[in-house]
Amino acid sequence: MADNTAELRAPLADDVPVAASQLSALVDDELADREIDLILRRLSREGDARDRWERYHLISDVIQGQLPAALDTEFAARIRQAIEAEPLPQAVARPLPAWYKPVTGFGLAASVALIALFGLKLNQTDVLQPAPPFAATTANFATPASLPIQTVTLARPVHSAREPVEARLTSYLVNHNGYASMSSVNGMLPYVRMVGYQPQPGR
Amino acid sequence: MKRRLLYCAVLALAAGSLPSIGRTQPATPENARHWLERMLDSAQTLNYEGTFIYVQGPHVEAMRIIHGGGEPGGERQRLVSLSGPPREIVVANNQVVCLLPKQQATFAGRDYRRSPFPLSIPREPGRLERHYELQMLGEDRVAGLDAQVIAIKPRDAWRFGYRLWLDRRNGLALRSALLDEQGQPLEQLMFTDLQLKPHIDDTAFAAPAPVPEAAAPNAGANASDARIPTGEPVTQSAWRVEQLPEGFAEVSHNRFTEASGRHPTEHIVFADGLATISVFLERLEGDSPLLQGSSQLGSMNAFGTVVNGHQVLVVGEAPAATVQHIATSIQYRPEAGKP
Repeated sequence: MADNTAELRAPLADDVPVAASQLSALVDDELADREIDLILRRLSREGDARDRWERYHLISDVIQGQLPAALDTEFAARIRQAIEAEPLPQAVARPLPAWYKPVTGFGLAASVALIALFGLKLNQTDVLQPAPPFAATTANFATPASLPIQTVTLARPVHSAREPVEARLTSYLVNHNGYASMSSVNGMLPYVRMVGYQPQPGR
Repeated sequence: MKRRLLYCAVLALAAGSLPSIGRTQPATPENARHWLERMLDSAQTLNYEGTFIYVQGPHVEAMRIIHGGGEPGGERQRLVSLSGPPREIVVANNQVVCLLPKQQATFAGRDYRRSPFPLSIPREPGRLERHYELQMLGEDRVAGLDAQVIAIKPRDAWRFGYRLWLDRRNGLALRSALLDEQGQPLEQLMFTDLQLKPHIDDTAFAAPAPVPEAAAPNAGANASDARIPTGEPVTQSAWRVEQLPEGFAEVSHNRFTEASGRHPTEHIVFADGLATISVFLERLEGDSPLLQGSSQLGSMNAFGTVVNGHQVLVVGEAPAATVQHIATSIQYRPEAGKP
């Protein structure tokens, strides 16, 4: 029902009675989401609409017998003024998600890209488990399923000497993929992995 | 009458089965192996240019490849990222030049590729089939081309499997998927456009021009560049991997030193004919270890540990358990390294 009325009312949004009935429906919580969005925008724009909205709430409270002992009709206006007077909240420095990769400006992108490519996430386990014991005979191989896989729990804080660490990892990865390309089923894959490597999000 | 019917049925069965022994049935491993061999041959000899999509976990990348075929060791290829920050790899003239933003690394120098790689598929297809099962899976279409689909299934849990879509005309891999232990794709590559070329000009494989930022500390990417790490084969080493996962064998053991002046790093390579696993050993000398425990680098698994003051880092496109198994069975035996 709300959808139908929305279709009819939308073109007449400037019409005061229509806006009034929308406000009334908003107060009664009977408005469709799309209309709520429209009416809230209108409320933030028009003082008349706000006054009307307050009156409708007052009526609603009266009808439902929820009238407070004292009425303060200027309460909403004062809150609004207080909010307007407040300074804008400062942007909070937040760690960027792992997938974040700026592409504005090459210099910025470049410094991040190296991490994206070879930023083997410097994760540390709390306690390195001792090496699991293996059967001593070469014929009796341990099954992979029986091996305990350590879960990586802690990301190391910012590394003081990041560049050398990344340079080392880069050289490791380039060397590995250089050899892998010679035996891989698809010789281009190891290089593709180097070019396309990106860290997992959230890891 | 009944007996005659039965007799006819037996004859029909025999007639149906006999010729199929003579002909190679599409489902036999020989045929999948034949496709693999075609793929390896065409990957080496054909000239082509193409664009492909690379999907790894949640990441999608577009790349362009230019490939020039040639004698073994003479192939050239250029790989350029089309999305995100510009990255590039050129493989030519026994060199791998990686243009990665802020860093230009050159790999291995002159001897690269000259040493034969003992366990590669073309040399030992039988070895591959000891650890992987080859299967024909039917036909599909990739980049507008008819493709033959084959599966390479691991026979145990030490390795990953592959699914390959090969161009029916020449066997070129048009699409590939690396599959984990559960058969879920870890990474996929698929051409969207592929063109065979009669000839590709040498200029296509010129070393990438270094970006000004990268060139500043260490300019140039020529062969005399000081950044080329020099590798030398290792005959005596104190390091032993006591318990290799079945099917893996050592194929290379080198010691390389970065020109940046770091201490030498030993690099041992293990392979099973398809998967490659690298072990890097570097003395820490008070540095904190690069990695302890498991990690992932895209489709590659890594495991780091510290043994006798050395960082042990194992990396490979193999299950985490395989990489960890190798990392934890490495032992330092100084007396064994003495001549």
